[in-house]
Amino acid sequence: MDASFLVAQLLTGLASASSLFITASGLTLVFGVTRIVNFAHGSLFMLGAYLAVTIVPRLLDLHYSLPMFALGALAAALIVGLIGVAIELILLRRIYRAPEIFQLLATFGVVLVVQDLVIRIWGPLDILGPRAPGVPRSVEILGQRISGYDLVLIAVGPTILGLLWLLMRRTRFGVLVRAATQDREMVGALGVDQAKLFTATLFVGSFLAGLGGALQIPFKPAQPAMDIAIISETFVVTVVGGMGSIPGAFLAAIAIGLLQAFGALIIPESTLVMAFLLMAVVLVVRPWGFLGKPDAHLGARTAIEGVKSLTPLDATGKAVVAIALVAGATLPLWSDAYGLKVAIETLCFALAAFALNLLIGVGGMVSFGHAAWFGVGAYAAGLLTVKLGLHMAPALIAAPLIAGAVAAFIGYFIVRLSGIYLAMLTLAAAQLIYALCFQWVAVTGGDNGVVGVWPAEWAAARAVYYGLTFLLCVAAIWLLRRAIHAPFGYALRGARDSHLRAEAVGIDVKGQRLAAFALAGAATGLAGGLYAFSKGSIDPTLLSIPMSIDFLAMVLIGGVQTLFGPVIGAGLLHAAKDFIMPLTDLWRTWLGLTIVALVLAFPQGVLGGLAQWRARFARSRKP
Amino acid sequence: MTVLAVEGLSKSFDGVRAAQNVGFTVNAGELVALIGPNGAGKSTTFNMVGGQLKPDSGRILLDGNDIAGLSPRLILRRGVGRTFQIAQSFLSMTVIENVQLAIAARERETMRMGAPLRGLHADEAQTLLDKVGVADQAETLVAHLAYADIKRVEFALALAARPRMLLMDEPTAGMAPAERKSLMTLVATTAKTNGAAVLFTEHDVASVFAHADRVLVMARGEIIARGAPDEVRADPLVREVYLGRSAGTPGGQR
Amino acid sequence: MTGAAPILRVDRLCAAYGLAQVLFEVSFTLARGETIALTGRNGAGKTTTLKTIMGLLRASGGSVSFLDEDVTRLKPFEIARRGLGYAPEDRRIFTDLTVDENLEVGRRAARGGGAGFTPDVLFEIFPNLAEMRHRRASAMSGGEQQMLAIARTLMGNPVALLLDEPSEGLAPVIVDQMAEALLRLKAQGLSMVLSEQNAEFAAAIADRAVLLEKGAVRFVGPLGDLASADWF
Repeated sequence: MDASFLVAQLLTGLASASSLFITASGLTLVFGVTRIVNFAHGSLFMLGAYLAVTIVPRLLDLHYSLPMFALGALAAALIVGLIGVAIELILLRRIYRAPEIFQLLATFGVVLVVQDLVIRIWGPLDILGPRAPGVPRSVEILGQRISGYDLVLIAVGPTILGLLWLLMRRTRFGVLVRAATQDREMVGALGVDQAKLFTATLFVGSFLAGLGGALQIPFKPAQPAMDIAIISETFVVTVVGGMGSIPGAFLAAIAIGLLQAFGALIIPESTLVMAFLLMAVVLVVRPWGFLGKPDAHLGARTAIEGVKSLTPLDATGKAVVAIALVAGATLPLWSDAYGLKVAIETLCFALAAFALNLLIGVGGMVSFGHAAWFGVGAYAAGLLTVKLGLHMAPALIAAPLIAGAVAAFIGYFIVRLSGIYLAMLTLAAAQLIYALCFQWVAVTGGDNGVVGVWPAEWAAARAVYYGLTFLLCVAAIWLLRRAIHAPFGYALRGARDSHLRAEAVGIDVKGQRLAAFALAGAATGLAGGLYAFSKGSIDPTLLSIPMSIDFLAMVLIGGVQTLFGPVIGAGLLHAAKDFIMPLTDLWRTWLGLTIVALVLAFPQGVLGGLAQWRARFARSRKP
Repeated sequence: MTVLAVEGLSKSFDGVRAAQNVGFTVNAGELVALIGPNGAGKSTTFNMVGGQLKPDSGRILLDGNDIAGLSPRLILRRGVGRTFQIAQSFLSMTVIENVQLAIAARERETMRMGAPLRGLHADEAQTLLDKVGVADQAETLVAHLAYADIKRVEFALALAARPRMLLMDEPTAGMAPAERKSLMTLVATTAKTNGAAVLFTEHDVASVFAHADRVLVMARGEIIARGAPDEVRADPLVREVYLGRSAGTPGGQR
Repeated sequence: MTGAAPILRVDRLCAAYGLAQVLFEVSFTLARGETIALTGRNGAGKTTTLKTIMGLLRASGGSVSFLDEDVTRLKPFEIARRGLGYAPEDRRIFTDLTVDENLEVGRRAARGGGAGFTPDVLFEIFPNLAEMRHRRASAMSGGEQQMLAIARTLMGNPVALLLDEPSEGLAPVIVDQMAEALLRLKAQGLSMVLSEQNAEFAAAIADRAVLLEKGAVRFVGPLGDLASADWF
């Protein structure tokens, strides 16, 4: 490895850093002002790429020149900017005051809708864009061949940084944006119309996302999965740089670009893992990122109203639970095989969702990567059976233990944070594990996963396996519920209610949260293990972002304020998915729109909403 | 007997000296008031003793052992209970659950996942609620209490740890005069019977002069006067920077 | 203040934080050119009253009218644009911005097309600020920040000002400067409501006092009639 090779690697790293920065600067700008982490930023990036591969060739047909290429990219970015404005006007402006979990969920709803839209318009195949005219395919530097377009990108990144700097320092818009980043309410009290400022910010942010997408078409094709890939990387850049800081994003993009370029030399399949590892390390050492600031408003405002005073079940409650248990236990007697299959899956999801609400509703920690523990449980069970030849029983005991251990290890970093940073780190952790399963093909089977994860012979009959799942899931939920009613749950809730007071009465807040993470991880791991055996296979979708979103949606549908809400939510969502998916190829759109509608209509969740109705009804009947 | 001895305590924020060479003692059974204008360094001093802030230098001796720089939790374990200016109770729980949790925390039972909290330490909690006068609201959610009662719950939470030393940050802020008097009397009686030392900050000058055994006055990070309430009230410097011309005179009291 | 039509009329204003009601039918009026001191203890409802007038907190009952227009349900920025300026208790200066930039955020054209306040005019009233135009606000002292907070509000050319504890936590010398500056503004015809615990400061500037206790008005009238003990 000589010096010139390292220089070439350096330039490649800088080029990808530049490209990443353009997109990330938009996300961090929007977050700074609106305090919304816009999941749909990746969708805007993807739209930029698709629009560019559509517009640029037509312009080049008119006149084959570099200016025409640039014009096409700018036009694509401009259209994306306008789409961003539409998203702000229709959705974001209604959720600025909602807790962060709802903001992330609602913008993820947009992601789902755009995914379907893109496939509908452009089809599922990759579309490669034209090369930029006049840019040499490669340039020789120190005897190494460097892509000419890489050099262009290296120049574009700092140029954008400079232009943004001018915009922020030299224009009234920029001054207002910086002021709003610090204290948007005060900006309003000084006579500035926040709504217009936010709309304008969304335009600029979306424009940058679109430009990022448009500029990469000569070397990366437009494809339907690029939104999730870029949003994960962009999240990392934004968090590492310090949320809301544009120069921070620039530094972080360079750090990540170089880390990936040189990391790939050492372990070629480590690129994804590298980025998330960097994020985890930075968040532990500097919880606010390179140039970010501790923000008193963060976390305080976004705190979600969780589980309230716990009372033992009343007569009605007991009756409902008894009926549900009897119905569940006798299900094999009156349901067909398909019904049992759906019931097994629902039970697994219900346990996972119940465990997630231990973190969110009781602990006040919005975990955005819950699929990680589900997936780890599934992979542990699956790999132990298929690769090591273990039987089902020991594999099912190992699944929660391993998932709990991994959750404890990652939780050690996570419990130091709160609010949106905690949510982002859980997401990053889940992506890290996803990346491991995806890239470590030799062990995990990569994208294809592993097949042949079958239950032991005695449990092979569907009815028996259902019985086992029912027993384990109900027992696990019962134990979790007991823990929530025990001093453990109260102390966890106490830390949520008041961190200061909790510490002052002697509760070890971090320790309490860590234990909750391990416990929730173990319970979810058991659910994942049971799920793996019911499916007969494992693959990375089990720990992907959409899976995490499903769990969050279950909790949201059921309501975070009730213990059993998420169980109902799991049932409703799984049933709906099962019902809708075969009927339409637009199920993502339906799911996305449903999530958006739920966030807008039931910020307390369905059961929470019902409870509120009941309370209102009871109050109105009082004399 | 000296419970708390603070020596040479200093703390700066971004070069601004918030507390400078602060030193004082608090004895068992004694109520010491820490007063001064906003920004004088009262909260900084308080938070250093409570462990919410780490001092730049100085010692905080509790029964002779240095607790400076320990975490709030460890400081509590050494016997320092505290209340906060803005009440910090567990709002999603009932009054008695608040106290039960505090007792369970004292007994290091917060990792127990079996038996419900409901039946745990209920008698001791009820006794504490009796003592602070909110026993009849034991089953009410703290979020639904009147503010004065929340302050009483705060006091109960601080007592649950059986502290040697009580730190009370504006214990009567936002309360009506009659309520202030009864709460401060309760604090004084409790301190005398338990032999606990009390350090409190207070904006309400009438409360300070009525209930404190000794008064410390801070201004711009330093203690500028100390002594019995009457001495402090007569101090010209204290009148200049804090009390003003009219307040603190007999006519200005309630 | 005698006979002049009120420009701000607060009528039976109620407000609540969650379930806890904190303002109970607060009523008072402010005449053109008049200065009112809103007094009372910590937690009496002074800050809440100002926030509710400004639209930062939703009124749960009652109304606020400003310049003969009902502004109760308007957003803060709409109220500000109608000529009501607000300088909050904790100043809320944009510490990442310079003095000039802070002023720029507050800038709005003068009503009626007059020249109105410019940075230069304000630097004459608050001379300390003139020397640090390009300094970041985070590097300013508390007193300078308080002056900047008021100057920033004045950049919007308001008809009336709501000042929340302008003298709080300031050194006595700075309090004197502040009083002087506010008296100059008063002389220029600006109306003001200032929430204040410093009796001397209020007496120097205000024409009348409104005493709040537990979220309700206990007394309206001359400052001299307030017993000094009521200030704490």
